[in-house]
Amino acid sequence: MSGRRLPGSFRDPSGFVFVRDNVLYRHLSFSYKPHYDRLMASGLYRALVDGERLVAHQECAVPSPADSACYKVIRPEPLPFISYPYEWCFSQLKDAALITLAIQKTALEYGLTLKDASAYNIQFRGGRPVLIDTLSFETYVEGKPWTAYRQFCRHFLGPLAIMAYCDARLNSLARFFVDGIPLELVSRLLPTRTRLRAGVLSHIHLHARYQTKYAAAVPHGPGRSSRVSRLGLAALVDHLRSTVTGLVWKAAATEWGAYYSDVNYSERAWAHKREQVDAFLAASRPRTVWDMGANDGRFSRIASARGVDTLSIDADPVAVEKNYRTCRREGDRHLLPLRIDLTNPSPALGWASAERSSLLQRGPADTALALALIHHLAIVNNVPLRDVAEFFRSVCRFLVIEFVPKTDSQVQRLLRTREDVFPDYTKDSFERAFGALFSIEAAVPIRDSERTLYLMQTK
Amino acid sequence: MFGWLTAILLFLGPRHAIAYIDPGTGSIVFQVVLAAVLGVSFLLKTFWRRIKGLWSSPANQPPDEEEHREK
Repeated sequence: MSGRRLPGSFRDPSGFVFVRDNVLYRHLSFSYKPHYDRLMASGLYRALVDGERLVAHQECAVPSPADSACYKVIRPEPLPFISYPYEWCFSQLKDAALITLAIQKTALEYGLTLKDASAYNIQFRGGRPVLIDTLSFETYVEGKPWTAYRQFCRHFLGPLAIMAYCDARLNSLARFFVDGIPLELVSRLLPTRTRLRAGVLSHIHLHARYQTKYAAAVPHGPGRSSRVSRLGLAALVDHLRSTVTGLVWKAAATEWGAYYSDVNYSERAWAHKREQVDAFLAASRPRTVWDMGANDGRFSRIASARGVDTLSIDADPVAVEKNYRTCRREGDRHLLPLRIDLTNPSPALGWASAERSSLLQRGPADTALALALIHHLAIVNNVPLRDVAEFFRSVCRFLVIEFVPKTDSQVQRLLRTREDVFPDYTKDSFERAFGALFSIEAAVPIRDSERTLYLMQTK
Repeated sequence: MFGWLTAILLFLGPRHAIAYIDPGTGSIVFQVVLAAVLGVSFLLKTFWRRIKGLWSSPANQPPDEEEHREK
């Protein structure tokens, strides 16, 4: 059976990614031979893999779909899930930026350099960022500028700066600009006071000015004088590192507080819900879980504590930031928080709408959790229950879903500011709508509350 | 301090368009200027640390993470 080239890796002439018999491989072109050999022989590969900064790979004898130009085929260690920078919270993007700079620093010490610094080359594995593109390295040539500098600023520094100084939700801009946010746009969005910060002033504002200035057509290029000494390159990487480190999202600290504090659950109800979610997870025995509308991830942790690779999805940047910091503090290796709005989930993007997959294309999960979510979708977003059921059928095989009735104080609060045009929002209609697509395996009323927790399986 | 030295020197950098087409050119030209300036401040910083090191006992010295092997 022949391999299938994946559409996300066509830009790099050094090679491409393909899938054969459901296993992912990387084709290395002959043109990449000297760089690959140096990566492996210099000790850089070993140093980065041992430090969990680069995915390990094995060379293998599998034929490539483009046999003639193939130097080697390698099989990288598989990742549980591919996420994209526009789905990350501030600290995830910041950690990804810092690991990229740390890799570049180490690479220079071994006589190599990163030829690209794309945020899409970083993924989260075991709770930590890791470089997945083995073909990102090339032999360092004395005096050559860092070709990835501009890409680093567009993919990491610019988005981090607008998240820190304007609004953390603006990371979604990366959805519209497939090769990072243009620096002149970042420069225009940033408040004037950022010109007083040397790092942002130089790497963004002045950098953008130079780009605009040199974009005008004039006879000759930068030419022979375009040399950057080894010391200058090390200084540049170090300065980027201190600039990134200095970016702090202050809003996160002030809005931290009272998550869940206004929720009408008694201690007893919480304990029962936790216990029941755990029991349903045990019954559905998933290898992957998506917690949809996860808030700060407290129920996602029930799944990740069982060693299940779990996505913790929420639209609120503060909740996702809080979730990620908790994962980092606790060393949770199975939980990945992502900022995704379920009413408008990540679409397929890029060239031919095929470079980046939509959220649904990256599924389905074995089990999905939809806890205290249904009223937000049905009442706040006006989605008919039948459509909510259709959506979940495309997302998972097992569904753990909580029904929150109209009499619940949370729903009453939502209805206070809108006309009640939801006569069908009842437990019976809910069971009918979901029962058409799922078989209802169990329905357990949560003690001390009016809510019911269901375990369902797709028909 | 070094940051401001950088900013001032950058404003003194080339101010006339000499190149062609894509914004990548401006980025490279800018990097050449910036890296030169940062290189100087990086050296001064390392040098200053060494001077300070002469006056403090080895036990009190901060770990020199920025140590760079220049050939």
